[in-house]
Amino acid sequence: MPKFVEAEVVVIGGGPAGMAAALSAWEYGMRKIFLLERNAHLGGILNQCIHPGFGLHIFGEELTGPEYAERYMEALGRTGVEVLTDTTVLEVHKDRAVVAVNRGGIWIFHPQAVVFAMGCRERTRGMIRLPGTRPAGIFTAGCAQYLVNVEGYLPGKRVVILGSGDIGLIMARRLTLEGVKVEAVVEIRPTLSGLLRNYVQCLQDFHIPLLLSHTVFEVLGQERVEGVLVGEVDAKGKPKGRLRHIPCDTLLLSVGLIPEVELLKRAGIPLCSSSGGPFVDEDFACDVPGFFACGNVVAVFDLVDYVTRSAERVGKRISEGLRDEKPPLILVPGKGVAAIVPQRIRERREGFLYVRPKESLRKAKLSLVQQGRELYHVSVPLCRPGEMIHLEISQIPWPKERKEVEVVLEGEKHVDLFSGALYCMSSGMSD
Amino acid sequence: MISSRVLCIVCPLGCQIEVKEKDGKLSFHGGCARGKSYAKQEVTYPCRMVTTTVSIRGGEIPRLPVRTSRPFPKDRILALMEFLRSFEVEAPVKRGEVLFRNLLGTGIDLIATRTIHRLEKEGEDSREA
Amino acid sequence: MKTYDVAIAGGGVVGCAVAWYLAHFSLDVLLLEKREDVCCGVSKANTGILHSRSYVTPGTLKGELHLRSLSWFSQAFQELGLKPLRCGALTLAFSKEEAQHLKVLQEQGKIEGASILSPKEVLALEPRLNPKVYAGYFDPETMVISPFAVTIALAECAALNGVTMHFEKEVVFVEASWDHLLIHCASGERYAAKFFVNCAGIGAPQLAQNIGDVIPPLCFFRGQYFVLDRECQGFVSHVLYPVPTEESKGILVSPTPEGNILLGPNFEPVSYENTATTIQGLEEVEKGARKLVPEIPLDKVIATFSGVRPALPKRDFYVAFSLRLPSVLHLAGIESPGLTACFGIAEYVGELLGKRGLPLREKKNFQSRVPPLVFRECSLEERERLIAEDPDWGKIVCRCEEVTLAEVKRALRSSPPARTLDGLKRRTRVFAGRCQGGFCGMHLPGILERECGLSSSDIRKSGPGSFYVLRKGEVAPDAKVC
Repeated sequence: MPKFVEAEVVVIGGGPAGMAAALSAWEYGMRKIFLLERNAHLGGILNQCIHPGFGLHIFGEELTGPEYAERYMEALGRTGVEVLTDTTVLEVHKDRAVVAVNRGGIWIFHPQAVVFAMGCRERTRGMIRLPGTRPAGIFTAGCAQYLVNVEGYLPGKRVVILGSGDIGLIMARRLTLEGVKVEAVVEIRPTLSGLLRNYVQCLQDFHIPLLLSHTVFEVLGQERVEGVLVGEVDAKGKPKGRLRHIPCDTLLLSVGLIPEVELLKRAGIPLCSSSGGPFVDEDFACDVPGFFACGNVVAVFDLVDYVTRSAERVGKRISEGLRDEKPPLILVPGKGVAAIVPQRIRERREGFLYVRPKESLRKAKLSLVQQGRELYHVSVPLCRPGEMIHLEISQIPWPKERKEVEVVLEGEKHVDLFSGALYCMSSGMSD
Repeated sequence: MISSRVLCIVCPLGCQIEVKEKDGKLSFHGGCARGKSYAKQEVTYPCRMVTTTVSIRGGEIPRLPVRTSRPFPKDRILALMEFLRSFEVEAPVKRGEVLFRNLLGTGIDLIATRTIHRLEKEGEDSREA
Repeated sequence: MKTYDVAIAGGGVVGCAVAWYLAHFSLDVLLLEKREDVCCGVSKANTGILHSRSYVTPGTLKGELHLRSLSWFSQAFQELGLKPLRCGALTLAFSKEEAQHLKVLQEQGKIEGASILSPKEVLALEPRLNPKVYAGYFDPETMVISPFAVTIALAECAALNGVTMHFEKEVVFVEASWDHLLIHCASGERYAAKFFVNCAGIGAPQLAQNIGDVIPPLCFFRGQYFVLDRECQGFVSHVLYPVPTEESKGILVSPTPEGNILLGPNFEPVSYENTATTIQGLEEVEKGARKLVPEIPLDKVIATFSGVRPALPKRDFYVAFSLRLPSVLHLAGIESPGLTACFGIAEYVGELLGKRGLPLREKKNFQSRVPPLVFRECSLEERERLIAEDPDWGKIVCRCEEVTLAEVKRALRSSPPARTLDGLKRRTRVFAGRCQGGFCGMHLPGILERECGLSSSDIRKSGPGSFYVLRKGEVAPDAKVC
């Protein structure tokens, strides 16, 4: 028979969000806490992110992914949180029953609080409908990153990377250092998706061409990738001009991340279409009492520091137990805003409000508007879709009125340094 | 006179700083004070933190992530990678452990960024990474 | 050299069905496949629909074998351990003219429970259909099955009952030698058999030509598909056909036994076995699917693929003995409904060989195939029991399809075994879920090396040259830092 386990808190996912959530619950006095991780080690995606750039906000220093993760693993080791690795959660029910499996059998937990911390997954070839053949050698960038950094494999010898997100840029450098030839990074948009710093240190340093307003129109090769057809796109994403053939044996896709919400769907947790994750309040509690979500399962955050911060908020609320909540103040993304987290504000009014801009703006104004009345605004000298704006929730004069609050971002359209063909370097590619 | 451009990454604004050299003297055009000092570093002695992995024998996972103790001269990064290709350590290793001192005579050390325990028995569950 | 009673070239659905059928008799049967596994050619990419009697093409060999196959269904599925999705089908007419055709289908099928429905009735069955539908023909007997599942089950059942299989053996020539045939492979091996069945699919005409026979050249018609996430399960619950044209059954929307929804195929002539997808082709499929189900969730696409129908100009199956060697039988042009007709084809091949003197003495000890357990389909109690027996049942290697390490190991040990990642995918559904290998693709190579004793160079997606990853150190550095 499956084993039934009584618990106070079950945290699903042992990456940065899950570890911080379990620690937070422990700090607030919860004692029967289970942290379930499907891989053999805690740390999640941090274990494969061996590059620096983590922890500036939380620790005031630049750490690599494994270093950042290990600090939390050590902290967990000093608590009584029960960590189950190699354990996969199969289902979460509306009554908060969590069904998990590992080599010891089937486990059914009945906690007072469930914390979702499964992170996100990568968009695939199918999702972007990339046409052509289906040979070996097409990887998502994060998959390749794991294969290279944790397992010590290489995905191929000559690589084209589609998408200029940070994982794609970082993989361009990583593979180059390992002796792999990166032929080009191809970005469909007229601007770079990742951070400028990563452009300079990952592409410029190694003379890797960045082709903006370009995309891969076809994958070639029967058994293994033999090349890709790359061409310029017009404003509507249609091909413009001739396609060029770039010979390569590998195509990496860095075409976006999406919250991994399958377990939430089965548990009936309401989801937000703009962030892709569940609706949460400032304590990262979902709309259904007893369920929490933090980290990239809520929305894909730019920095692991934000992920940790989101998770650190759940403990206090969990310790207060289940209670009847008054209806929250509802926040919605308005003009110029792609997504916001949280989308609900209750009484606590602490933590941060994260705002994802739709486009690059300069001299912008971020305002909160209720029924046409501006409640609050801040000026933002420069914003880009790749970088979230964060505001301290306690700084905002929240209204008594429970009507919807719109988050609006207005400003001058910022012509990014990366627009146009400025950085479309040519290389020795054949037509 | 030689001139070059540096794309500044000190802040998200991403200014272009033009660097000119005349009679061995550098002059900077564009960007703020912090940007200018970054540009100076970039044209005189550019350095990067290098992170990679090295082989580890007898560990729970096959690769050990490492970093340089401080930013490494950019023009010697590939030589460093070549050196590390044949570099191997023996588990266990603790995070922060100095694995090699004075890499290529730079005075910069190689630091482990992950703790890897020794794999005690063959076929243990913990072997999977 | 051992002389087999029958040698079969081709491990597609037809070759495997022939092997399975002949395995019912006391015969030594050999199957030679050019690729590394069964189900690597035409058989791997189609809609997987088991078309009912209504969709039989009258007056053709194709129709005759289709009909014959239908009467095999219950026995075959039981022997093979297969469970098709018995979902039924709706053929949808959007005009009065099209509605005429529905009557033809009904007349042809004479299926109990089949009926022509008014728009209201059709929409009651499938609420998400295009409300402009004029009439629909409901056919309860249409079923859906995974084409991989059928071919692999046929091969496994044949192997279980003594059929010998060799892979990476492309038959290039057959000659008479004394009282038997000598079968030559591209790799140099030779095999001896009394009878030879050419089920080489796309390669069949070339093989026939090498033997000295003439089969009209094949024409290739490509069909492209979308696969939707399992999350869409229930969005439609019947196979939805448009009214068929002369050329094809049209772009359809179909549930699958695994819970995905399949859209396609379009119909486009191609000059060779070109299985690339194209922007235009996928747009055409999208348009066709939207005509039937306007709100079909195309944002839930997890994969696209295409298959090629190897058709003869007459658009009928070709099954005939060689004019040069009387004990050589050629099969060609086995396009849709080849999957549905495979049991009928196999029986027909058996009869033809019997008439030429192959002794068909039925075996007493024919064994049915016990299908492998699928973790995802087991109850919690069954899972618990399985894990207690073998802890590998508790290690999930594919989180989208919930595939366990035990299932992967079983697929590697089965007969014929999975020898590639595609082979594993077709047997266990790793790589087939919504992440398309984003997760299992990271972990499987390491697991295969450490737990299954493979080396990284053994890990291939499909044929030679389709290496999945390289080991570090296999690449010489040639990068330059500025």
